[in-house]
Amino acid sequence: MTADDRVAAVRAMFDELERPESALTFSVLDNEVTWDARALPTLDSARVFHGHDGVRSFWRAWLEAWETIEGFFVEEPRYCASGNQVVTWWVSRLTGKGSGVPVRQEAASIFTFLGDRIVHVAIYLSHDDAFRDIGIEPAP
Amino acid sequence: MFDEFMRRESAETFLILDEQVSWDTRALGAPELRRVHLGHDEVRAFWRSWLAAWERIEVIAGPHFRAHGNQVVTWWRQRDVGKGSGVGIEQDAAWLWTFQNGRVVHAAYFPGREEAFHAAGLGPEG
Repeated sequence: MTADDRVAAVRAMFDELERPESALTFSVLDNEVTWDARALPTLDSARVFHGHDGVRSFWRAWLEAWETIEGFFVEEPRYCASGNQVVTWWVSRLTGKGSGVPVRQEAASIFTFLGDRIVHVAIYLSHDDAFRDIGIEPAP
Repeated sequence: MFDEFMRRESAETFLILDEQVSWDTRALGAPELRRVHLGHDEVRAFWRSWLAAWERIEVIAGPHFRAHGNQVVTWWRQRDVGKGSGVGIEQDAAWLWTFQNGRVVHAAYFPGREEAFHAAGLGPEG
């Protein structure tokens, strides 16, 4: 799998984001994937999840935290490959449950592949943090 | 971590390994250890099982290190002497370490440098 293939796989998953049981997504995520959402501010989803069922639990908890999701991507995700990793970054607009407060949320993820499957996902609330962690210069 | 392992110590190692580390040894030869171990306790259990199989472990070449972004590939050649049998085997080993916030969040074993470089998306020369 080339760097371009990895970017294409992550992009395809993002395209499926609104399909909770996407066969494509679960074919790209390793059965033993670690999904690290500790950086999130949402209490029930701010932890580390494991495996496909863990990913499902994450999404249930995360979606539960929001009253409305005006836009998963008010700024379209962008992608950058580095070795066996892909960093993606985007901006969402969400309204918190209870508070009713709209939030413009910057977010980023680093996807780490082994072979053709993703074994580790780390979520960030800052583009700069993700780029700093992956050890490459932030994209303009 | 490598130096500490050779002294059979681990305090520093567990400061470097994230509490939620994924320790992927699915490429190991031993079927009973071929899985993903999660967190410090499972990593400790893995080492107890693995070390119990060997009378002696000796690194005979390396270790070598290659950093790339937030990852490090390590590789070496070792001679292991089986407990009980006394039979010695030589084998290559490599690990791909992925860091996040200064700590290792994912570690994957490979049977050699080439496999680890390939997994890390590095060319043969790194």
